Amino acid sequence: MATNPTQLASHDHKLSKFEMIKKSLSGPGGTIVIGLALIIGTSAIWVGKMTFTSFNLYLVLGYLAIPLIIGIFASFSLLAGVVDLSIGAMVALSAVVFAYLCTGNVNEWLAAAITILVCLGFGAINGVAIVVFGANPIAATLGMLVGLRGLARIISQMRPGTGSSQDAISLMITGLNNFTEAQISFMPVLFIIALLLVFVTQGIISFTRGGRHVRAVGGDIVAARRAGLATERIKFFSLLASAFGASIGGMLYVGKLGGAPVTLGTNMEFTIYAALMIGGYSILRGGVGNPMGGFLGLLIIAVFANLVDNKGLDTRAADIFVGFLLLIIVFLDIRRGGDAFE
Amino acid sequence: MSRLLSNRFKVPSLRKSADSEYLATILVLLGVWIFLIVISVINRSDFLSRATFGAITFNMCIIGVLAIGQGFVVISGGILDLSITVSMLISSFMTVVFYELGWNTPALIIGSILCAGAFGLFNSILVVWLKINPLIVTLATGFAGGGVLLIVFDRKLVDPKSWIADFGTSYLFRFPTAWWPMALLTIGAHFFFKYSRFGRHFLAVGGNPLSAKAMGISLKRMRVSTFVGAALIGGIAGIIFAGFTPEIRPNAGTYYMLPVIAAVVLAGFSLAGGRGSFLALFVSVGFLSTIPTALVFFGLKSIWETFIQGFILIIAVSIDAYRIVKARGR
Amino acid sequence: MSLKKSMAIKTVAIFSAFALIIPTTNATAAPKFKLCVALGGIPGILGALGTSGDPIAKAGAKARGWDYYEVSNKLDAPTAVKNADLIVQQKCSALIQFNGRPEVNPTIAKKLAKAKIPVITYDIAQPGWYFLGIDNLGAGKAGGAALGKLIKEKWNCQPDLVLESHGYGAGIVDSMRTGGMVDGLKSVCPDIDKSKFKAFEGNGEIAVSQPAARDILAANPTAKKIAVVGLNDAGVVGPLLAARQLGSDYEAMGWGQDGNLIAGDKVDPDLKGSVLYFLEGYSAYAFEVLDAIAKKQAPKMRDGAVNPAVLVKPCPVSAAQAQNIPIDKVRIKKLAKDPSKTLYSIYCPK
Repeated sequence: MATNPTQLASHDHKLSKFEMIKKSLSGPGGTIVIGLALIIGTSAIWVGKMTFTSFNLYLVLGYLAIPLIIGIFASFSLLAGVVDLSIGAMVALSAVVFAYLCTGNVNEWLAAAITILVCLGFGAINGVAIVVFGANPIAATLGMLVGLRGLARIISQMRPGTGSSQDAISLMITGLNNFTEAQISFMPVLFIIALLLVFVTQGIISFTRGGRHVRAVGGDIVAARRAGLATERIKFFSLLASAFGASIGGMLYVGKLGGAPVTLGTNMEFTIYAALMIGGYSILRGGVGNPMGGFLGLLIIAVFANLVDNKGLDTRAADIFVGFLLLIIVFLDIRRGGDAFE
Repeated sequence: MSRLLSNRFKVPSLRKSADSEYLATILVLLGVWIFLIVISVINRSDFLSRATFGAITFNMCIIGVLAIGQGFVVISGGILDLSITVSMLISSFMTVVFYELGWNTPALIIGSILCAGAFGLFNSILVVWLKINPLIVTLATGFAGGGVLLIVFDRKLVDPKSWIADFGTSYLFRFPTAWWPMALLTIGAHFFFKYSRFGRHFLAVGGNPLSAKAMGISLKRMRVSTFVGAALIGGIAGIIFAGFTPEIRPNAGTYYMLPVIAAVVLAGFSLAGGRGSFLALFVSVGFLSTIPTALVFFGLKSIWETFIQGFILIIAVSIDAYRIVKARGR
Repeated sequence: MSLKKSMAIKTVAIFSAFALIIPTTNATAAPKFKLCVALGGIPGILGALGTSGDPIAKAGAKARGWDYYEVSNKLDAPTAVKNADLIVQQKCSALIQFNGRPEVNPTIAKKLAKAKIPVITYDIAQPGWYFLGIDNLGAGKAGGAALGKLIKEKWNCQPDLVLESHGYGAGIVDSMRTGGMVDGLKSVCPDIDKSKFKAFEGNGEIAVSQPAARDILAANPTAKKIAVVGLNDAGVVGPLLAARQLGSDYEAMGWGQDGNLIAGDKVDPDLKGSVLYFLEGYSAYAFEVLDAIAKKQAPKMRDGAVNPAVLVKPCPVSAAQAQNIPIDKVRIKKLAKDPSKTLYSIYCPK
């Protein structure tokens, strides 16, 4: 969280191999890796062989892929210090608009393009409110959340033919469904794509100038401004990125689920940000966190949920787990010298 | 977000200029509210009826009380309490539990509110002693709390013959009885933050915690008071909720969280803390509660409500932020 | 620091210990029949539709020596679809399921059909799944007719307003129940003017239907005799309360569906009756089909609400009759002790 990966790497050459492992384990990523190992170990004993079957991997990773894609794009705005709470509602809007167009006999590719544009449009409204007028990001994107939830519902009930009696759209797009379900040996294709996205984003954040600029804007906007960075533009584009990710996620959900439920993505803004925070991002301060950590954060929750699922335990336990894990991770981070509240 | 943090290190503006700023917010909100009522009356002259009055005032009851609790957190620099609906539900459930145990009314009310307060104490312990940011704490306890409530209570039924149910439908001085807690809390909060020493300490801590500390105010004490206070107010909302809802379900909090934050933000409370007027909050709650009723008069379905509220919120925070930036630039 | 070091070492040790244990713990027995349940996840309802597990299915499975497995669809579409894959992974022999987001049922059906897992669906029909449940349309019409009789008696078939508290998210179930109630009402009182019916989203919850109904009553200030129909009891009780809140000059009558708020002594005074489905006891009916499947004599597919595999008898009750029926918590405990009976046979007044 507070330590960034490049810092860690620069010290590593002085240490022996064992110390290196020890050091990385005591870091923020290490906490999650240890946690993951513990959960997987527990699962191995308790659930048995099923933990390691390719089908179970598909269950964990295949369903992790879409939130991961949404989360990685949303992490740009976290990094730039502008939290976007509207992502969950944006996912629902994207799914509903996409399904609305497809059921209205619009070509799928055209429908996808229109959907992305619509979502980018609302992302731009976020951007104008926050960057141009200087509105508080939490307040403005919360308004967007409320508004888009309503809009998704309105569009869903507007469809011709159904009158106003139902707001559930059932729609199977075979090509898209096959794509979301496809596997290369034991790895879901969608997950491979999401993971590539993580690596690419990690590369951008760590090694390109653009990535450094985003971190700089989120970390210390005054210094960034003094250094001559286009802080406004970077913030604006980071909000567009999170809207873009949500629009892709929504359409992928239509493919995977074979329908566009208006309630899609309810509370997703909280579950994804909780996972990203577990992985080292902060919704209170930009400039910290990296995509690999975010991935681990989402992964540990998914793996725990998988353990609960496979044992048929009370699924209400998962929410309680997320809450406590978040507190523990943040607390450990503070002990390590991360941001403490006062 | 960085604005949110950097604000904390600025010297808070003098109280006089703050007062005129609040007055402007109140007048603008009041103007918009009256405008909404006027166009509704022009649209349909029977808008001004006792039933409309009842609908709007009942709409205000729960959101109003919760908004005061939330406003209390915001103004004191606690950013937001994302678990305030859990406080409310704890109190609602305990109200029923205590009623079934045969507790008398004052003991029941105090007991339920204190149970909510205990939850607030838990929040504040995490904030003060573990030094975790309140937004993260309440996000986590909101999550976990909802899950725990579902496991412990699932649902509770309120006896329709009980005083709790009567309270939810009765009137006092021409207003719904359940409306008065909000009105009294608004007046109380207004005078508390404006004139009492303790109240001004909250404002000082919210506006600039470092200088407040330098002045000898105990940050820990203030933070604990903030989160316990907010949970206690949430507990009051819980009793109203029990009066309104004979079947209490743990998921009901989701219907209140966003409108409550919207009301606080619309009232011009700065999420950076130290700035906000409870009179403006009252007007903001009134305005937001009038929207759904007015929509029905315009023949629009209630699904338009969230859409319109959301975009009003974006526009309002944008204008508010722009106004402040301009004022600073001058 | 030293604490962390030792912790890290311990973790590695524990983890490698796990790796050694794995092979020994996996001696599997001959495949037993495995009953799986995907709960609905509706708060406030017990049994297969609710959040807290289905004791009836569990007790029945135990009595037959079957394996039992349970997950929750949580009223969430992605969760419901994921659960379908989980069910496949668990190699379930049969699945009982309620999915409150029926728009994704075709996708779930595809996954389960591929794995050849027979499905019993509660209340929401899906081609290829055994339908077990209430005749939603019939229950709606029966409730509407009962309310119609009261309206005829008290108001001479002239209510000022008929509030339809819909739950649009429930899709076809809502159109059948709420729409059915309107039809039933019209069958007794055919001359109620169309303009008096006001449909709105009540979401089947008091916290939503109550404020929405208040606003509609405000927009019709001269209407004082209010009839309320809806998707379920909670959706009807909300508007009834709203009318009482707006003043004593209102007269409201409602008839619910599902019977979730009609039994026991804590019943809304204006809820004149409801149709008890005994939702919490649905699984007692399921064993008829499950036993046949277990004997490899799967019954003929009957997957429609009109042509159900098992029809749950609706139990229309007036508020007075329901007074003697205990609440769901008591009922489900009694049934779990003897799952061979049905709640209808135990509790429905003759």
